Amino acid sequence: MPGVTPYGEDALLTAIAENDTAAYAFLYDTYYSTLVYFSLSIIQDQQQAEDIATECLLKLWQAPARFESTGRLRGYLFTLARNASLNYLKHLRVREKHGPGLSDQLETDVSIESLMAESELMRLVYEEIARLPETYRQVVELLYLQDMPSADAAAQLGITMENFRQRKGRAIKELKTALLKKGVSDRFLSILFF
Amino acid sequence: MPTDDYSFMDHAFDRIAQLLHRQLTGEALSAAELQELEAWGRQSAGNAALLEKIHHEASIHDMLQTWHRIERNREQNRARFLAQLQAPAGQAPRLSFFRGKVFRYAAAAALIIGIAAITWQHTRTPAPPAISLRESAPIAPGREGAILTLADGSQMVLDSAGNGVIAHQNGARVVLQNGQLAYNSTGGGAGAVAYNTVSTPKGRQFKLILPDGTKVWLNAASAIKYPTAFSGTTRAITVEGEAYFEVAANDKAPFTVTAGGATIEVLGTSFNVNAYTNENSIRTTLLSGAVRVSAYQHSATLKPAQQATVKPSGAGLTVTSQVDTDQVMAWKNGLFNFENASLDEVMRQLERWYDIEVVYQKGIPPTRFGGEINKQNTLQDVLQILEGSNVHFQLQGRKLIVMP
Repeated sequence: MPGVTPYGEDALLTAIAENDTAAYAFLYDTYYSTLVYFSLSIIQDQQQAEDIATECLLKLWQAPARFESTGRLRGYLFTLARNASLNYLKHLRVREKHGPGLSDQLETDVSIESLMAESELMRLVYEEIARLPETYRQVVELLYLQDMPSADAAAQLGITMENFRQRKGRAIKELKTALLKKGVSDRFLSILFF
Repeated sequence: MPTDDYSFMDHAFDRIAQLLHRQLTGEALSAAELQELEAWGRQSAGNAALLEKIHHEASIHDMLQTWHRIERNREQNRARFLAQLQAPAGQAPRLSFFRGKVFRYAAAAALIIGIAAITWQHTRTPAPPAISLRESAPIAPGREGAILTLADGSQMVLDSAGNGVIAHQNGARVVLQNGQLAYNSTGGGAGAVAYNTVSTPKGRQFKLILPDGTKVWLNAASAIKYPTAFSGTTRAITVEGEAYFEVAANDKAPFTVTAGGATIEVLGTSFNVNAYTNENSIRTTLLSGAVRVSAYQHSATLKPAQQATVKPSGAGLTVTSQVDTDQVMAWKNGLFNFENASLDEVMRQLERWYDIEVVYQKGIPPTRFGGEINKQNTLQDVLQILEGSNVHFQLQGRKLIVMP
């Protein structure tokens, strides 16, 4: 179940320093997507960004260290991802000889900070969607996240269009109650369903 | 190594991300918080651009779609990553989570909590006073989890916390992965058939894959008993409570489910059985394929969206067509569906999911309900919604008192 940490902070940092496989699986679950998103924002190449995120985690595995806090640990991973991403851009630029200096404007830590904030924000918002009950999550996923036409979405779920419309209606109604109870307005809902 | 300078990213962006998240989900920020965001926006063009971006739904849409594309490759890349950890890089392979200290402690803790809960239930002496919902401590919803009873009678608490082999049973490895149980045949099985049982207490549900590949979702307060390896020409299991099955096709070995007085013979299909002893009938609902239900010398073959109802009194077997399958399957999809449900039906579902006991102060009011509710709500949230239909509740510990 997401959000449940099998480790206390201290136990996690020790397990990482001791190359505990399970701790690295946990590390992956916690940071992988954020690191890919972050790197992708810099280099605009998803496959490459996925490789960079994975390599950052592997680097730590190959040369493990005991960090003072999980904040420091995350800072270290982001730094690796930033450096690898900027390096990749430099190589690109060399390859393209006189390509536009895309990386120049990014080579300051201040812009990087906004990308980190954006990655973290997306993680929080996506978690909100992942927590929806399955039938509603499927509707949001197909219609909104994958831009699938309603007819195709209904076919994929193996239900009739009528049933699909019903389900979408119920999803909106339920989300409304759930979100309003959390003290949240219709804004998020309108983002998901326009 | 961690001597690089990365102190610049210590805290600020976490705080900013949280503020933006709240703003995005529609929460009103305080004046001070808005100022904080503005100040952060002034620090760089990148920051200012992000603050601007989240006011445009099209950009949010793009950003979420990007994230979603990352998530879609995630499991695959995770497996690759874990495989690379095992690759020999001059390091000995590490202990898996299940053999590691952490899991042993987690399992021990789960067990102690379980025992404490049981002891507590049996020793709670003076009943706490009945209080209104608003004053009561929130009662959390149920979650994933179950107890596995092995062939020798020993029991294990299954938790969604980790992955790995947890037992060996007569030629099969019992594996827990992403909170679901599965059997991998090692081919060495011989001798007498061994049975395992997976049971869920109130407040837990669980998913498992039987040795033949059949998928089973087990609702709260339910149990399933099955052999650790299917051999010969039948696949026979028994179930109590409620379960949904997606049966692996195998023409040579029909799959049969015994639930109370009903027997369901399956021909490769998906269906739901509700056989709680405190419900007044056993209901089998077919989603796809075909099944034959038999009880008390009657039998009927179901088509998709048909439901067979068996009364335990032996009054026979009736078939209803065009049932609302979304309603039947709501429990598996994380919902309560109370469409046209009576008050006592609703209360029995709440008893099982929130592990509570329901008493009626003056008989059962004849109220009927409608609509769906997310099962992740606290009990109090659900009750508050129900109170809209003119019933009222008080809580006395885990005892719920229903008043007209």
